[in-house]
Amino acid sequence: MSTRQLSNRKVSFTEIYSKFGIVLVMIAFIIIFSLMSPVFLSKINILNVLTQASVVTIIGCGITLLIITGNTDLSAGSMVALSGCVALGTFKNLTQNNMWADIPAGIVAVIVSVLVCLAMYGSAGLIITKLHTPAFIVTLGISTAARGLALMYTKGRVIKNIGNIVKIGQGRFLGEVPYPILFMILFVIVTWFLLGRTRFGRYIYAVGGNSEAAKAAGINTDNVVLKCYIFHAICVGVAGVLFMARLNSAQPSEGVGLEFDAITGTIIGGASLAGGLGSASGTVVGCMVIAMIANILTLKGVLSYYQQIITGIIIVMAVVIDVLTKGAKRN
Amino acid sequence: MSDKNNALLSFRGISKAFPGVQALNDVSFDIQSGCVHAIVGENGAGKSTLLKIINGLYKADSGEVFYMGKPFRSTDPAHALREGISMIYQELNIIPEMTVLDNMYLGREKITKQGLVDSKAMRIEAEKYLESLGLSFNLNAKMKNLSVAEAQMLEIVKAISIDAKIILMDEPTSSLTENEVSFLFNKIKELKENGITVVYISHKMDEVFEISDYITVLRDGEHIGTQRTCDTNVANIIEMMVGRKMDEVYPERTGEIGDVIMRVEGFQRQGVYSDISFELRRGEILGISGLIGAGRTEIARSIVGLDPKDAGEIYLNGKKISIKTVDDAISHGIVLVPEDRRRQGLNLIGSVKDNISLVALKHVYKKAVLNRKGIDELSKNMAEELQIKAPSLNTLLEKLSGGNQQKTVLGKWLAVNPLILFLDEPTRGIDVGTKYEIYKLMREICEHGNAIVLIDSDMEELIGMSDRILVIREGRIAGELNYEQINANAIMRLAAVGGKNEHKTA
Amino acid sequence: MKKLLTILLSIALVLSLTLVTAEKAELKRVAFIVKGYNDTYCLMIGDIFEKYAKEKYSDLYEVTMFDGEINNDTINNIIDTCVANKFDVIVLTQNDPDTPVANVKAAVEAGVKVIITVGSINDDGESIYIDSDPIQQASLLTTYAIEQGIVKEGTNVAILRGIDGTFHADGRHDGFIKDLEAVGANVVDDQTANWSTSEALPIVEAWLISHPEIEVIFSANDDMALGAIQARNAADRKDIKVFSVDANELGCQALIDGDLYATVAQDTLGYAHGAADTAAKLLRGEEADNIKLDSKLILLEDVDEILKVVHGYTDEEIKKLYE
Repeated sequence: MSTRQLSNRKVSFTEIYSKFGIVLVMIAFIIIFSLMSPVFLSKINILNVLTQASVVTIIGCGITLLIITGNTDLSAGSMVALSGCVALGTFKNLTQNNMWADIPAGIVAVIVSVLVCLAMYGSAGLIITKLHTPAFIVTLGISTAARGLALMYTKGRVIKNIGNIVKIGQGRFLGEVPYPILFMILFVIVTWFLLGRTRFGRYIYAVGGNSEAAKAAGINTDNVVLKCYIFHAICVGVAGVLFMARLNSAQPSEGVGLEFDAITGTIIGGASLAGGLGSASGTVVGCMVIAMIANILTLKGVLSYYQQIITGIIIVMAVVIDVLTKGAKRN
Repeated sequence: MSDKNNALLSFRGISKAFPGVQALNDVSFDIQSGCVHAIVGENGAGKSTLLKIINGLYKADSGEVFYMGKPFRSTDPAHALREGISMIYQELNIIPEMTVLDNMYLGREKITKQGLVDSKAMRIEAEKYLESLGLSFNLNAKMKNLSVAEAQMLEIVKAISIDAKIILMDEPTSSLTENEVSFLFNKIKELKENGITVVYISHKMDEVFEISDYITVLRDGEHIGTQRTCDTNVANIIEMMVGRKMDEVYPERTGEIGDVIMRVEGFQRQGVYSDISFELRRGEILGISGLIGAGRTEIARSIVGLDPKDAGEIYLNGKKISIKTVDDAISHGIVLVPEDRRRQGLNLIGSVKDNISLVALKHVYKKAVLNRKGIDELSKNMAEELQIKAPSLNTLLEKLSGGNQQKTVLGKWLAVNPLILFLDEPTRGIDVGTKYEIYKLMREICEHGNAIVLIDSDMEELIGMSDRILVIREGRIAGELNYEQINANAIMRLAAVGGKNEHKTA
Repeated sequence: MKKLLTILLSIALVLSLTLVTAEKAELKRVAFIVKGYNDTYCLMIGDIFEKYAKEKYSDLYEVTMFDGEINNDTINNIIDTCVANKFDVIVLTQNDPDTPVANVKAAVEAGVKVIITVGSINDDGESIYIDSDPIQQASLLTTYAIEQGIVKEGTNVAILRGIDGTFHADGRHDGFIKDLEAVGANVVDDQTANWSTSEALPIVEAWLISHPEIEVIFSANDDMALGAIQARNAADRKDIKVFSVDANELGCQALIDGDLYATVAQDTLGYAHGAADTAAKLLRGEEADNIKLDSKLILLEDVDEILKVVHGYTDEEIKKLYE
């Protein structure tokens, strides 16, 4: 198929980077950090980091789809608070007032959490597609509304003594692997399959790459975007339950900023804010990198102010490298 | 070749490689001052690459460029501009939300004493300048609302309004009507009289021979020859371009024309077109001619469900069908290959495979889970059949030449085995060799009993390929010409209102 | 698929590199998690703790400070990380009584001793706590105000609450309400400013316009009181009397300036020293009990001592404040 082959192809750094990109960065970090702290690679620390990254990564799965289509979500943090509080409140109500058993109540709680998210994100999706309003603005509005709804639902207080659902956030499978990690793996695999192995996934990239061309090819671009928001709603709904369960009580003021961590992780992982690029594997790696950075800074006892500065610098560096090599790809 | 001391621009041993492709290989020739110098070659021959090296968008891997006798290396287009090198690009880079006025002065805005942009002064100067050229543009119109032709005219106006010593034009006439092309050629002649040099890339042999003083032929990144235009002819040049003799430009129809496959009745859309009814027969290529803005593309878009219509019916093989969405149309086997491949045809950050398989995902492989092996094979076969030149199926589309991109768009639609293809300006910006391939493909498609509706502003091509021509004027069918009646005059008489054509902008 | 494999391979590769031995420290290691550096009171506790521990126990343990960013998730993550980092004792200034429970229990199970100060958590005694009674703290103020005749039946009062749902905020609020209702005062408004000066300011500014009849403001902490004072002074309403809890540095200053009527000192030293002493006891293998501290009403005559003992002011510096 190709016409002229180059005789001496030198394999440049940019070529290697553009193929494996952020994974190399992650490996480099792992090596450097393990030399900086002897406990970095201890089993307990690894499990900690993976657990701490779980909620953000699950949210990141949904956000990856949104970003590929050229949309976004600025409300994940507030929605986690809302759906998590509603889920835990529901569980408490069912088990303590209505004497339900734990497992059915738990399932209902998760369903309720996802339903809350579906309602909000479904509306957002409709406004974004049918009324052509930027996702930035719409989800910003949802964020404020959700925070208010969360406070309304809990009457401004924290709901305590929830019951056994908190085990979903704090317990371990077979006593070894924390449940949040299992959920994270599940969502990552589903997202990877969706994006890479289904027609819907191809449509997502097509809409993000050139939505006009996608329309001309017969794709219902509005439907595609809407379905992405629905998938995202499921991610956030489950993330909400896990997050609140880990906090042991329903806290309406918590979860601030989760959306930015998820977006940053996705971008570091190779997605483009302009749309058309992104992957599940990239997002996982990106979210891990963020969690690893926070972890090593805490292990080294770095003052929290410096932590923020250092994290910011490392993130900018990772993204700049990514942009430079993407630019090389394009030329 | 003359001594480089007389030449304005000289190339010595220019080479440039991209991953997987040697775009230019040891190219050396001269461009004389005050001449119109055409550069021709097939897709991927390296013409655009050479221009972009002059302009500073690319850096040559080796070799030197001499400008006015001295070694020259441009760091970026702004630098080239300052040195007196102005360029009109093939793929229009426009900022959709920007107004015509702002676009005209992009990079050289007038500044008031307070340091603000002086829109008033710019507007006055622009209006005067456009008037002197005999053009009218709505300076407040947004670039996204201009047609492709208007945008291209604007680029030309921009380039010649700057005080340049040398103007590089990459396929400047691909969207223009005959009148606009004449206008451009007059300007080029004026520029020549003023001692300005023009470097002109084009696929249109007639234009090249009309306007140029010298012709340089590139093939596969190598310099094949540079000749005075008066010393050579079309056949000679094409042979140098392609490396073999070309017998005919437009292949003859091989199959039979059968019975009516589609009938369009009473199509109407207020303010756009009305009373559109026609038939399409198996095996035929129906040409649709008309001035730019007459409504041809709009009619096609409504038929395939991309745009709404007020009224109208479609009959396929005698049965009435309803097309509400593009998906409906594709299911019935009616597809449209759009006019502007960059905006509507391609996902530039997708790969060749992604683009070729996009429509087939639903209409060939109906499952929700991807049949990856099938898709790979389909893409490979289609790419081979169309002879798409790319390092691999996973190459990103933006790295392909215009011609290969257009083939990819075609491949996307051919992959679903359509009955009827609407082609809107299918060979815009494509070289002679590739054009011929597409013509042959069109004939093959018709041979199998399918039909093509060809919307084309290239008069020669339209005449060469159509079995029958409909002429649209101001949204209505002005007339129909059957095979024996087809000639340029007849078409123009039906198409034009009989007077100047103005640029209508939004 | 390629990328996924690469990730898994690289993790396996690096895990096989983990043959680095842990440093052996002679001193024990104590982590002090301040609930948030933005919480002036808890930060102060941390500073006092660090200094005291350096003076008294420098041969037994060394202290590392952490910022919980007043965020429960962050605090939990720090607890987990400190356990992984093999600290011997974790001291935490309480932010919420429930959220850290699981993490603390996990820490105790891993052999780490946990001490909670300035509050307690509901972990069935896994950790040792050092706390005061917030109802008592509030009551000291209201009782005094009532004794002085500042608050009687029908007096218009307003309340500024801390972060709702937290032990100290709820407790102090209950303490205020209990006494105010008993005497028949009129609670005109009751808002939360989340312990923050910047949040209290606009709230009180609004009160001055919508409820000019307010005569007394009870604030759950000094920081919020300072916001109230700023608003009150700017509107030329120095007639409104402000009471609060904490006796922090700026609160004492305000008391001297006559802006603050009275404050309550928690046994700040008790919080800090108690934690440090408990840590030492636990590290030496001795038994340690929970500590319940008393609070003290602070009036103008008492402020000097607080400045000296708690805030470490010299006589010179104190004199300057009176100028």
